[in-house]
Amino acid sequence: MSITTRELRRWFGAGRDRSIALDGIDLDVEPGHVHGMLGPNGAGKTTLVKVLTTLLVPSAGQARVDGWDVVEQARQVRRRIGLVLGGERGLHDRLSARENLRYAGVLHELSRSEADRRAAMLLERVGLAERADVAVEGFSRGMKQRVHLARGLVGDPRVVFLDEPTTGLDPVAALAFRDLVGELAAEGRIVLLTTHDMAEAEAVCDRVSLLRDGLVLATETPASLGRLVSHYERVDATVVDVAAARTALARLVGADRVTELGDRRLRVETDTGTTRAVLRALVDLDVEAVTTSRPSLQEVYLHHFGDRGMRL
Amino acid sequence: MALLLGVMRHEAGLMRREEFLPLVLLYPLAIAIVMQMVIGVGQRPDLGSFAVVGPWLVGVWQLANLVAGETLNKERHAATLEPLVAAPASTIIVLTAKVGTVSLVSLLGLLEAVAVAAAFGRPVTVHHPLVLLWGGVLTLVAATATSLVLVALYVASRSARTYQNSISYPVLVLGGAIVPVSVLPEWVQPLSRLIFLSWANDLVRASFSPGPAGGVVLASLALIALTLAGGGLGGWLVHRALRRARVDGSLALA
Repeated sequence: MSITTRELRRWFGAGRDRSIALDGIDLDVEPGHVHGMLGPNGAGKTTLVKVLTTLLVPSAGQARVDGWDVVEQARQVRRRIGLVLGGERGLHDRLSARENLRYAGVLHELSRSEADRRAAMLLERVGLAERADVAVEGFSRGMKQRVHLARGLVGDPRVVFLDEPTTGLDPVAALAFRDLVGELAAEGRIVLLTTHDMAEAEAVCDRVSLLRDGLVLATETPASLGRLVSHYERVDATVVDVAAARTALARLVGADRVTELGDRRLRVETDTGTTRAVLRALVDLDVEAVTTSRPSLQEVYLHHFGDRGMRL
Repeated sequence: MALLLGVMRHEAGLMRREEFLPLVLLYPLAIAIVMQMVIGVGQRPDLGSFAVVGPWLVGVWQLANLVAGETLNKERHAATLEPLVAAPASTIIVLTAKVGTVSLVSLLGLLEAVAVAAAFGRPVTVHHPLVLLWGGVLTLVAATATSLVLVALYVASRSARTYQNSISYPVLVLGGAIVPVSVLPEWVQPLSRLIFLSWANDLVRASFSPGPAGGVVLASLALIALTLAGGGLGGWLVHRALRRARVDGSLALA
């Protein structure tokens, strides 16, 4: 059981109007893993999910889910997947959450009693048991998102695709969602998650792929991705004499690795060989505070995509 | 079968909440009243069964055209088409169950037309109940098959509403739902026979005939042939439409 793609390409339109959404994606996700797809709008995240869930036919390359080809064996793929698309739409608004889930059970070819059982269990799991029989049209965005989530799990899928699943969830519900994702992985399922939320990716993903313009820039653990920005640790210090400290530190690590952050704070990028020397020098320089850290995933993201601004 | 019944139960629940009853009930009711008045003024009691079957078939067609034909477009607009296609159940079977439920609901129109006839003092008597049952079933199955063709037509069109309005009355007139096919110009009548409504009209009216029910075999065979042709064509067209949507990325509206 796995997700594999090789040279996966997807474009829309033709000739001059052709736009490339996926530009040769190679991906491997193993069972029990939560894999995050991280990237700005238009990077290709949702297109990838749609190809893997058989909603889009790839233009070239190959994609397999649980060993089945997404084009030639789409029906087998659909038996093994659960899809959670984000957003307010996509539910039958005049029906209750329970009715929506029952219908999803029907579409997953469950018997009536099994569909009822799964619906009740999942409504409990996503915290909607008490509102189970209320029409979805009166639900908040976050509550609808929970119905989406439950619907994606109705068929007891081996592979779960979550396309920005926490959009609209309040922080408490988002935390509960992270626990749920962890449980899904612990049950041996594959979870493929697209998100903009760096904290979410760091919290739940075993591995993260950075996507930009249909290309995978890197696939690493969230912690390892930090090293793409800086192979070095870094030391932040509040000093008494900024100029003297800059001069002394530049002698140790080079001037380009010393940055002023304001309020007499300096950031020094170090490697494992120089961290100790930098710390000793800072102590000699009469510092008020010192911390060492690695870049967060958010900094990695901004490093790769921060130049895009509002561009798609 | 569990899939069919499950989808039909779901569709019935949707119809109940989406207030289709005025459409289901008002069309046949209005036409039934008008027809009863017309045969009263024209002193044509021999058209009593027509004034019952005609309004029902108007309802059958309007539901097929305006409701069932929109099924795929409606799913797409509500963003429920993607979860449907990504599920293991056959999308064609699900759509067939959905449009079949709409056809089934149209039976209410027949009951209504019978009640209106009784209210006008011209009650109809079912002399051949098995023919009525058989004719009713064949008509609903034929309506379901025709709906599939409409589903594919309307999902491929950017202005489905224009087609819906344009084809509605020609089909009803040619299909003999508003006036009997026998009063149409002779050169038009072969065209009428390409529309399932004309055969359904003959078959169901035969059940009200006090004498032997004539033309049942021919009407049945014609309805079965049109159902197979419509269902086959509709299924193929819907399959193609869905395949194309997966290729050009139009399963969901942006």
